[in-house]
Amino acid sequence: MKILGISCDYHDSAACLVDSGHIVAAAQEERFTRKKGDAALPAESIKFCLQQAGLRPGDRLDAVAFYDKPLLKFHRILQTQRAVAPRGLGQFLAAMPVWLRRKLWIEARLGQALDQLGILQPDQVLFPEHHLSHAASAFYPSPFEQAAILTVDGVGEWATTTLGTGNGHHIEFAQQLTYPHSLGLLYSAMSQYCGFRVNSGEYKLMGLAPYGEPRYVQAMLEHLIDVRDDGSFALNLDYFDYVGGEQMAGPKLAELLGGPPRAAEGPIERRHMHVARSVQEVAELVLLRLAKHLRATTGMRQLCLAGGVALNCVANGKLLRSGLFDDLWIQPAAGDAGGALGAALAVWHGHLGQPRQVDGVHDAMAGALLGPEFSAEEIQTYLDSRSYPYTRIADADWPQTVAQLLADQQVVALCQGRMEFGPRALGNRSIVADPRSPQMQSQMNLKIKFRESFRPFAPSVLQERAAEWFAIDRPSPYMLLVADVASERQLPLQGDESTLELTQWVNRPRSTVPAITHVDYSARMQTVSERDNPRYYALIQAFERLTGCPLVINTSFNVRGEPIVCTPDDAYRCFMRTSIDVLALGPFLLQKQQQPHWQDRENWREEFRLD
Amino acid sequence: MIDPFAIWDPLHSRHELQQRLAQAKSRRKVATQTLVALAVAALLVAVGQVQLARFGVAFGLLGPILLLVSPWRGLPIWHGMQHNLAQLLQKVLVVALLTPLFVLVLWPLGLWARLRGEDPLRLKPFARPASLFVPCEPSDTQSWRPY
Ligand SMILES: [Fe+2]
Repeated sequence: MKILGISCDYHDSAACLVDSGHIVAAAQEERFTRKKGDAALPAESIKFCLQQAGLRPGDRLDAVAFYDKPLLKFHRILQTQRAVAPRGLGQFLAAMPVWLRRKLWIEARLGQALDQLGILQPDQVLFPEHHLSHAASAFYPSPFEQAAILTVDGVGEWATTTLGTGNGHHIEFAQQLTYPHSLGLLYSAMSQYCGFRVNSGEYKLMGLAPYGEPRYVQAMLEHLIDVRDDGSFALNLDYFDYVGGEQMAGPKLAELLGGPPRAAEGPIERRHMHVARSVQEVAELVLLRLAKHLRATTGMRQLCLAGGVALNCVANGKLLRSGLFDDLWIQPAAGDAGGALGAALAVWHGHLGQPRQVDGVHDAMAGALLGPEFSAEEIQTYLDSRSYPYTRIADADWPQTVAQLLADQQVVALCQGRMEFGPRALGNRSIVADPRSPQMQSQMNLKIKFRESFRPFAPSVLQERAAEWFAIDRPSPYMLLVADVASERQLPLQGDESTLELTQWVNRPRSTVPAITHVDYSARMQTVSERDNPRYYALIQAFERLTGCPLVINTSFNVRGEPIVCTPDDAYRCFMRTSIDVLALGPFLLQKQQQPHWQDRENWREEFRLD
Repeated sequence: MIDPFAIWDPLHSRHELQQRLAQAKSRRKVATQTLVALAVAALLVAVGQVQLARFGVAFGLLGPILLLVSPWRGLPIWHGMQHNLAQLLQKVLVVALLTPLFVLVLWPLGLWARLRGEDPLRLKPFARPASLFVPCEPSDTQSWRPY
């Protein structure tokens, strides 16, 4: 029984195919169309999912699940307009044509997309609620038979936060908070205030937080957000402009935070760092109270998380260490892309009442490696057709060969196996390097990612070695938990650093693996298991044999503003445009010096709007 | 024949898809879309439980707007025009049609609601109980309709 899950029309559209409860395929549309956060109807992702499930023209899908209720969302928008009129005319004029031309007709558009592929229409298109899709994506693939469920995001139809429980294949919601009172929107508004783009800059705000002091926490709790003991909260909308306005943050916010918002790409001042730290602490406070309330009211010992806010790996780390729950499971595609997966699973388990199979240890995400894969033959055909020089490495020698390159301080890009689903690259579309090198971080930032980043890179560490290197006692396979670098590997501070420029500050070594250690000694680590990704595991293992260090730098295979690469062609283009030394394309190794001269358009970087 | 499932070269197949989609924009589609629009408008009026009935008047106006705005690309009159001009005209049309809707319908409805002391978005920060949670309806997990 094949169910196609779809999320689109807001940001980061995606498709997922679930076959009798088994997740066969999932991918984000941006990877195919090469438009970051593409919100269009995911025609390419749908095509990929159908192909992966073995559907051919003339076949029929059993159901299509859309990740939210468009008419209910439309209702919220009209209600909002009514509540704020006569303000909001601009927003109304911008939103209505899109709704009237596209968003309201999602069912017809999906039908059309399937028609184009020759797939027969399913009997029905089902519309689970937005937060049910999030909750389903968090609970159903988790290893837990029963768990508390917390979903927190910007906004779905009306809900912005929901608290519920999962038991077997049943999900029940108990309480919720509704628009405009939203932790996700608060965080986005603060990201925008600090000059980062809404829907992609939140991660940067989180990365900036450790440089600041929590100076505005009191002011925020007094004026911006009214948090109750049970974690429920209300925002003071006098300070925000997103209800009816064109911006997230209102003018009063600038007064409260002692200055105007930072212009995009403008200098980052101390004040911005303090704001980042403060809003991060407020978000953590709310999440911890919500978790405490959930623990007390549900009695569950496990917690499942999803929604865009669940990508806040710093808060997740604190939640785990709080000990409120014995264990956490967080959907790797916690944002709206994961809604496609949740919607399909909600239909299978929730609507059709099909039971789950759980073992209490392993999740059903297959390491989030759910995207397209290219065989050695396909890659070879591609390379030969372009006459790009390569060497083929036997599988048995591959880990040792690539590990040696890393140990020789080469930067290697990996494009192998199935592409990751969700925002993080987990070893199959990753750029990897030696984390011990003090220069590696700035070198990779400037020559490869083309960014001046204040964020360190993430480490991929062998799961069995994680506890020796980081203060963590369990797997973090999806880079969704932040933990400190083990104290014996930390280096002491060198004098007062608060006077340093941010770019100097970030390059001060903090540990014996400086490229992956943040200014507060934390690392957003990924543990790699042999089960989930044997090839990547073998590479890190070989690197450990050579160097004694069981971890590598792992950063996504893209440049700033570009979606992560998908095909060998995307990979080759990114490889040639940057200073990556070696491209490992499946079993083939391509050395930069041996490649023919790369002629690119002068302005290729304009293809990608900076995020 | 090109395999419609070939994902080897997404750019190529996407181009194909777009071309075919463009060709599919026919009068038949325009008519269907308009009918669907009217049906949805009627449906929204009918489902009073989700408070959409309040917008009945507004949706009554949607039909003609949809006729003019939604299928604008399909109307032959646009085809000969410069892209920019067509876009400008479309903007003028949208503003000309939606502004009266906003001013004549939504604004008075909003004013009326405020006069009656309604606060549908719970914007006012006074007299709040110890918990701000809203209980969930069972329908949140049991409805599979688009509303
Ligand atoms: Fe969401």
